[in-house]
Amino acid sequence: MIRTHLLRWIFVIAFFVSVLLALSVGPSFISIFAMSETDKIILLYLRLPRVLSAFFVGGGLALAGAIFQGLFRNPIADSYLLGVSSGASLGAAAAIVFRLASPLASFAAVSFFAFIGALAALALVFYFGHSNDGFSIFRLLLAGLGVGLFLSSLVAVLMLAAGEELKALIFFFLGGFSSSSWDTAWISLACIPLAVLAACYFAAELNVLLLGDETAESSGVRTRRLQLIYAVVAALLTSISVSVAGLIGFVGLIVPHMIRLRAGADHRTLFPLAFFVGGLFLVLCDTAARTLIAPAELPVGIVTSLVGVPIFLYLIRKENSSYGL
Amino acid sequence: MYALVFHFGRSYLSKGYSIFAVGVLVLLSWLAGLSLARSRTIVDDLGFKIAVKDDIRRVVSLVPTNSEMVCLLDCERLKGGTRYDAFPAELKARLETKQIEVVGGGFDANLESIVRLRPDLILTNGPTQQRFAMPLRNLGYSVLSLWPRDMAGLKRSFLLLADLLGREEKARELIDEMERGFAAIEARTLNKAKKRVYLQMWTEPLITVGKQSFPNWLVSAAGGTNVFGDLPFDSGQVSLEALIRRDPEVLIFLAGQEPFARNIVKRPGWSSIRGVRDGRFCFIDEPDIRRSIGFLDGLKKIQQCLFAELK
Repeated sequence: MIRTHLLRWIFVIAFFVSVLLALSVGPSFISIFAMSETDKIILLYLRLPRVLSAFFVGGGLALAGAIFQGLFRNPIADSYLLGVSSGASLGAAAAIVFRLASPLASFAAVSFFAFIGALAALALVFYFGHSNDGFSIFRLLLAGLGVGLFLSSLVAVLMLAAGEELKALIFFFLGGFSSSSWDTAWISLACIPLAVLAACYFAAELNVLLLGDETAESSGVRTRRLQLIYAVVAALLTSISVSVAGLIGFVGLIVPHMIRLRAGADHRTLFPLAFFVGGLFLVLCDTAARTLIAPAELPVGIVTSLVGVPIFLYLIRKENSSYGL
Repeated sequence: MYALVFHFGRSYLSKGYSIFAVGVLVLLSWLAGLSLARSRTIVDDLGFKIAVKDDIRRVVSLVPTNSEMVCLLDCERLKGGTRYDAFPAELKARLETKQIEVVGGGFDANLESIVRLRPDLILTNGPTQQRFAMPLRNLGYSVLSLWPRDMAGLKRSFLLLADLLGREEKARELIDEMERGFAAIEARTLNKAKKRVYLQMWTEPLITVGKQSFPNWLVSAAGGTNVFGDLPFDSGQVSLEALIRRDPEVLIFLAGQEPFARNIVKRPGWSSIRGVRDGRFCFIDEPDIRRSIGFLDGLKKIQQCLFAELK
């Protein structure tokens, strides 16, 4: 007990230290105790939305990964491997090319179409990945890879056909947080907390679902409804993350596993921790991305892989767990 | 600044400090009056309406060619540029001595560094830079997009910039000089048959320029026709087969492609292209095809490439 208590405090302190650090460093150091007029504008209108976007996107990606892994009882499911991110990209690209929405005029509208795309991709994965005896690990992943590749190639076709809209597409797909502002940040602030609450609220039922569909049904869990809720929540998390920051790989795969290895597979603790740690991880990675070679920036996806993968490999080498799945 | 005042205004209103709110409103309308008196509205190449101050002292450019134009007019006022700025020489010197700060490199831009320079005017190019232009515009900065595709467009951009900086006379001089130079170059090929030209931007895959590009215009101004001038893009990938079919008489490569071009005759398929058989290929540097007011040197080079007799 003392240990978990201590851990909680460590997390809270880590959170504040990271956010404070992320807000202070950049191309120039800003001390929050002595700010000029320009410092204030940079801090309030550029750094704060950027740090918050990174936190919610990182948390969202990690939580989406944790949800997919639980929902499909599959240790290597995440938004990318299942093709859901590609679906979100396709939804956004189609909206831009067919002039249903423009990222310059209405970012929220583009995000909405990304959400539709993510849901559609997930429906395809459900359809092709499902067999009479449920979702087998390999069948599901193969279906996800297939759907993902197919949808990505549709995005490529759209880009070729885009003409004048191509530039708007590039604007949308060049990921990262270097052009973050409140214009894009507010969407993640509005949607992701809702999705996190929903994910945590139904976590106990998802635990039961892990025991098998029949066991779950007999203990009063409405499995179809539960699957649908989590599918919508994970699609929402994925599409908002893709809209705000483009494609950032591995967070959804690595962070939930790190937590499972340390804190077990109970979704009631896994989900909030995954969100929290994923958020912190991306905040720190983005801070590194924008300071290491300032005023130029590293793509944040490179930093996440460069830092995250070695930690992950170290952990799986050290532990001999079966991830509790 | 406006946004800051606005936010404070709102939170105080909700707390019932109506007197303060009235004060803020008075202040705002005074500010609005001031800004009306001192700024004007123009429409840029992307159709954005922007308000620009009359007295522009600090300019930041996110594109080398825009930096160049500002520097030709008044280099003192350029405070931020890109890491690829190289023309004119004065600009390069100022970058090296840190009188101009690097804030980006075309595809990237550092919003914080830009804001820190307190720019009166920010220059971007076409739609690719809108992801940086949008947040800056929403913060209240004047962001102007210049996107010329030919000489007429260049002239328009340059004159607009000169107008904003109050340097019309200087701009007229430079444009007259450019037009005289251009007329002289153009006159040399007026009676000659157009040469079929292939301009290669990248070797593997083969990437060339299409009809929307500035190099496409340069090639035609030099007395040639881009064999891929019908393709509806700025630049894009083509196949060797298509290149062989279109059979260019002259091939132009960028300087970095020399190792590729040296063995070109031995490459399968290439020797059936007329320009390769005739040994009619040459090299230009990347700055030779930049969309800038200083394009004449590049144009001359391309023309000499096309017509070997014009030395």
